[in-house]
Amino acid sequence: MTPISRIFIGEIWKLLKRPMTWTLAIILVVLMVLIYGTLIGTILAPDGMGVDVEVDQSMGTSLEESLILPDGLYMGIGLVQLMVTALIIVLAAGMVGSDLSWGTIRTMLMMGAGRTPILIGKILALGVLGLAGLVIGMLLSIIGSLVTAVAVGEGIQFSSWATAGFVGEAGVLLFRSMIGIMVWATIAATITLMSRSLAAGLGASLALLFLGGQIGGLLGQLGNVGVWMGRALPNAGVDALNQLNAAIPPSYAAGDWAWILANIVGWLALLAIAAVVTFRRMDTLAAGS
Amino acid sequence: MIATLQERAAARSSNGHLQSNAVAPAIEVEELTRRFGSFVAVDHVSFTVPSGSIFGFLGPNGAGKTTALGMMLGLIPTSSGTARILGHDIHTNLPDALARTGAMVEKPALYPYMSGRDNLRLWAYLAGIDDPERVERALQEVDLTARADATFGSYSTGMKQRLGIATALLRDPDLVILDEPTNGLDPAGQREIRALIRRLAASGRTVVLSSHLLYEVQEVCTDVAIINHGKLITTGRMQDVLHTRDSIEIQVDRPLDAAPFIEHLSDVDQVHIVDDLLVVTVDTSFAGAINRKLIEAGFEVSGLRPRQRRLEDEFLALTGLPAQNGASDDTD
Repeated sequence: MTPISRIFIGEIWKLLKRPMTWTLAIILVVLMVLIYGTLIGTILAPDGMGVDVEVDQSMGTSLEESLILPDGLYMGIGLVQLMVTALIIVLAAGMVGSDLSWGTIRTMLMMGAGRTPILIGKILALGVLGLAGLVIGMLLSIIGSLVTAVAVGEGIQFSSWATAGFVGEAGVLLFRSMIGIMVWATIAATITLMSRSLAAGLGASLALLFLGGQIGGLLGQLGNVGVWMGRALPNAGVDALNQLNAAIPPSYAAGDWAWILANIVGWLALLAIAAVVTFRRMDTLAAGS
Repeated sequence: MIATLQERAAARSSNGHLQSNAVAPAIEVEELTRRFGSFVAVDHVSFTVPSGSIFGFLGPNGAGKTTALGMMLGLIPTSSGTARILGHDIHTNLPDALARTGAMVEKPALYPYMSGRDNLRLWAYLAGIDDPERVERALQEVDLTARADATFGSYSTGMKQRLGIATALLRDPDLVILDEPTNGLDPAGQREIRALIRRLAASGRTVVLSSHLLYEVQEVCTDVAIINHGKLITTGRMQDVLHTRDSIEIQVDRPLDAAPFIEHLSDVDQVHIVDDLLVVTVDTSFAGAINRKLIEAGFEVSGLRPRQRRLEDEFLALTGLPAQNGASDDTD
């Protein structure tokens, strides 16, 4: 039986060889440059460019503060996390979906890889790529913050952010974001596997990512029952965790932590078990047909 | 290059595999069944693949060959029944059953964006093979070294088939299972694959060749199992399957009139007209008597010879398929 470590390294190798991975990496870099370029342009825009000057001025001031380090770290991670999550969902669905449609999943099985190790190896590999994406994105956001500081004439004030505390805070933000990335990678990979459809895995996961919050908010209008229904959505626990990455994070009580933890662990366990059971019963010869 | 039979024997004797595998059948299939709802794709199929044989698994498209192979390799769950591969039960010990088995089922399933060599390196790594020479040997064996750095997606159908076979050979398997390996190949490509199959068998491996091409199985295989509608029709040594009944071939001037005449003679089992020839199922020792009676009845006999039984005849007789559907026109 092929050990998980070999499957994991094999998956990393496949991802690095796959053009889709590099296309998504380029998309990440281009989006970061575009977003920071646009934001810096907004700050530097002269008055009266067809935009309400007062609103523009107030936004510009606010943007300036939130873009420059150390506060810029929080805005950066927020942007990066959303983009990397979306890209990892695409990668996860693509990874599982194409293994089914190309039939390579059966070659893996015939080479001695077990079904559960295959699933674990894939999700771990996605996690590593997600971490790489987060680190690259965070570095880009820090560069963007520094460029902003130079552009608005404040200069790079190392003493205000190049500290051990800043690095530690960056590490905590990355760790929380990684939990989210792993959850979303699991959601996308397992839905794709269970539905045997790249489109279904991609569509359902992206819909949850972008609309899950709104659905939860609407459910919240129904009162307590609605609030708890919203908390039961697969995205709710991760969304709540991500809110702690804001410059001014919410304060959670023990009860909040309990449902957040239950949501994340519960959904991960449910999806993993369902996916493994489905995979074991799957006719892998017909899976991609 | 493939190791010789003696080299393989020497290599295996140290770990005891040879002794056990040389005696035991390579595959024992027992009552293997797969249902999809009410449809029974494979229906209580049992057969044995002798060690060292080239075993033809023959049946028309949709007969259940690939499903049966998929179950044997753990790719499809069984509804009931089991199989032992190289002595290991697929339900209780699939990893050991697959450890010395190489297979290509349905079509070569490899990554289109990777080169042929990278694909093999990946599969070798997953199979726990750390010797890079093994990849090069597999490429040499299927004659793909020159195009090994081109992406799999850019390969022709024949090259894809060959790389799929190279993947199956990576683990230096004792048992090689190839499902329709000549599909989509031109006659030259088909010949190459058949030559490769013979080389694999000559090196001491057991080869299972699943095919719907009758002539291909007859040309290459030593043993055969015929399956149709999910059921095993017959199995055995090729020569036994082919020589179950003798027949003679008669060239006569009015075959339509001669056929019923011969059919009424004693000792004649069956008479068919194939390509204006009378094919008479009868003990060949009666050939002279039949010739005499035909001449006495006024028929002009211009040729009479024992008919070499073809697998096609047997296949059509056993499956009841009409000649135009059962016979392959892909001859080369």
